[in-house]
Amino acid sequence: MQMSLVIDANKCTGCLQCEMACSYEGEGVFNPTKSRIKIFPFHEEGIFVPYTCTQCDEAWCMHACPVEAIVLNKETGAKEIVNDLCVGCKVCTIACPFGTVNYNADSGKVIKCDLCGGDPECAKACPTDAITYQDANWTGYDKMKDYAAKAMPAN
Amino acid sequence: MSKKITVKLFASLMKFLPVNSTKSHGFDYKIDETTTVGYLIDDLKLPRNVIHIVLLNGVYLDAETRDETPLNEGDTLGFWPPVAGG
Amino acid sequence: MSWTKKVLRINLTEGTCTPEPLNMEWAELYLGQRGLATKYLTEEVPPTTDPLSPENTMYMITGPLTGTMASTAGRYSVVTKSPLTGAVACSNSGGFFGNEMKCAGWDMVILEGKSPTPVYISINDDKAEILPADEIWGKSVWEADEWLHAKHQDPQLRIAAIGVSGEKGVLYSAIINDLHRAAGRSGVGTVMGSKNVKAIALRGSKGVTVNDPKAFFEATTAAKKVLAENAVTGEGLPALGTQVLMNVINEMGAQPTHNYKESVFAGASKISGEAMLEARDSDGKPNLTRNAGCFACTISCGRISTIDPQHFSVQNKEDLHPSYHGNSGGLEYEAAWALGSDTGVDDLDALTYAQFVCNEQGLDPISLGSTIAAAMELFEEGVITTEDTGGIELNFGNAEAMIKCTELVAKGEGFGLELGQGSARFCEKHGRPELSMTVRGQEFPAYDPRSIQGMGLGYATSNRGACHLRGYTVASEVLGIPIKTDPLETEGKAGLQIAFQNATAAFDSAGICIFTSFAWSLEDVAPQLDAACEGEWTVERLSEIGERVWNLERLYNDAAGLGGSADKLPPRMVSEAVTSGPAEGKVNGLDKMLPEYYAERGWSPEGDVTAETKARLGL
Repeated sequence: MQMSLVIDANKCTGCLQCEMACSYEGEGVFNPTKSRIKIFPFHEEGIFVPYTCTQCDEAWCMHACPVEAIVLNKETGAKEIVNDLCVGCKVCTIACPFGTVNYNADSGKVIKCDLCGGDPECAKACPTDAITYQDANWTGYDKMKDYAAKAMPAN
Repeated sequence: MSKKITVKLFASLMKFLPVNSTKSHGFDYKIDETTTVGYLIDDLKLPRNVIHIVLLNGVYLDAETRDETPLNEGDTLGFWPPVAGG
Repeated sequence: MSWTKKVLRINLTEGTCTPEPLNMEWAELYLGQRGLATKYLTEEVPPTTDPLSPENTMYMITGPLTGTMASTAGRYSVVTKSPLTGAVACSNSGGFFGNEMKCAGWDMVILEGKSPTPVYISINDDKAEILPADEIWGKSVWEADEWLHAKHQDPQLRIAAIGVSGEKGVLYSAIINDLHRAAGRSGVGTVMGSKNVKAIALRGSKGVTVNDPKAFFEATTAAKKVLAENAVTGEGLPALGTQVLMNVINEMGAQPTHNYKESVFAGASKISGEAMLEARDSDGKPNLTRNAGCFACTISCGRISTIDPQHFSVQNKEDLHPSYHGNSGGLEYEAAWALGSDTGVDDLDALTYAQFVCNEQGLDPISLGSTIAAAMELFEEGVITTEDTGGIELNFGNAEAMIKCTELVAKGEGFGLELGQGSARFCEKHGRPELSMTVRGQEFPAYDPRSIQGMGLGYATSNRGACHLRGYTVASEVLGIPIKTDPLETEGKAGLQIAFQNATAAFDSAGICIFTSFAWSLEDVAPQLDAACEGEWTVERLSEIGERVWNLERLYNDAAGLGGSADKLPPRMVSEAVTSGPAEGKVNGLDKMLPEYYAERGWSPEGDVTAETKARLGL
């Protein structure tokens, strides 16, 4: 079964546990600036929004890469960077409409979410289930259920 | 002869308030001569595993003796789950 | 590992930024944050130093867990000599500033001397600069924050700043980071202002590592589970925040009301955490929008709130910052009691507005509210009049007067600057020192010590002046954590206070939030530190560090003339009995508890740290 990261901004408290888990998995340090997932606080609106790569099927980044350093992991559906091939040209960062592929100046390569090979650390670290890892075909299940509850006839 | 007391439910116990209760989280409640705190907890269907602080007229009731504590006309009984702050 | 072992020393007089190694010998004995910076202070700043002179030094310091994935591990402390009390000041803040300092590669940033002109400090990893702040001097924290983000074209900068009150010498000015998290008490913002420093803007990209990652993940994951499964940290605090206390403390008759004349407030439920959830008439929204977490916090007690758009406080004010019409850091219990029940104001939106002002202009709402309440009592007694107040009818319960005073103190103007000296100086000036509810010149927090006896001993002996965050026996006396004790009883309270004080000093030195202690004991903290740091970190070692830190602070205060002679409560607490509620007829039994406390601490009957105790703790 293919799985997807599912984000529910209403549950996010902005604690950045996900960013630390992500940076530790990717870089071996606790360092939010090296996280593939970011939390955006919208202060006056009073909401925190987690955002990361959604693993597009027809991924702009993958198609744009001139050296085929972005490849599909068939098991997870993730588009992964092959560090040995990446030349740091950053074309993928321009091609991605969502800004979720970014350049890491320390390594000279780009970084993006790779779903941690199918066991995403961000979802495991999130204390409020704002980030969960679910059946890719049913990412709307919880929302549907919430609305189903509202449509439930009185008995 | 029945007596009237005030019951107040706070924090997560607010969901057990009757729909028409006041903004100060309390409601008046008629009880029998022999009603104890323990009887009232069951009568109101309050979850015993959630109740942590019980104040009778502001004075803490020990968990061990609370069930047997009698109630008198005009008493105020407050219930809280475990809470803290600072 | 965990410590970066690097300190950035900024000499503002000379205009230099110099890296130096962290004194690891001291770190072994004092851990970090509160303990370690106090050690630096005692070694570098003589206890008799004028707090607002260039000779005072300010330490902004992280703990070894700061910046890691341990729950709540984003804390930093500001340690200095307090201008409000003259004693050691240590104010602890969350938000995202402490972890950023660590990520930039610094355990501590030291500000010494005084800049000849207004400046701010820019730190980007190894690069530190002292830059002109003329354009933001005279602006609020929020305005300075916007200006710095724009100037550096960096939306991810983390900023700590002072407001106008800190520039003008209000003695309880706070340092605000991330718009609404505060190193709040004892006037640490005033010290920053006295050095002509407006802000510190940080950006760190180095990250933080730990000594034994595998053990660290095991320990932190287990500890997070403890927090999640605890009813207080897993459910109560996220839902209602600190304001969950308003109704409990009021119902049990310990709610400071009308400058501590009474201990039950009729309007308490209207300004409580529960009230923050009720939909208001004007726009159908509740005051509370949501809860928020500081860095790494899996409790997330923070409040994000709005003010009723129809409320008078936000009407017809053209220069009001737009945040007053949107969400910002909302009402906490300590602000709600001080600005609310203590002044007799039961208007939730007025309190939220005043809290926003405290955040925008860098004020400690406890000292502010308490000072306004003392001024109200003086006004009602006719000691001061509208001639003193600049025309404000300063009666208890007058929300508009409370707000007007808040705005004046925030700007450090006129009557506001007078209130900005704190209630001890204000009451002294007007010939009624006994009406100031302070210890060591710092205003009381939210618990009447006649109704909660152990807190009286806590206030009297608190090293930074009256405070709830030095030994929170409310947990035991009221809330039953870890065990319930009788709040009206003095027996056993000396030992209880000491246990809380020592453990708190250890928590405060580690890089984590004291609110974890509602679920964690040092048994939960030790494995996390042990995995993060080199060496062995046991419960026993942490307990000893807690006690050592407490005694070190005490020795500094002793030498500043604020030792045993200052372990006193105002006369109202020890001779005026509570007039109503469950504690009616009670006074605080400090005279019974204090000798026992001294003895159990291993101090002399006068409250001096004995040579024996010093030797035992390696002081």
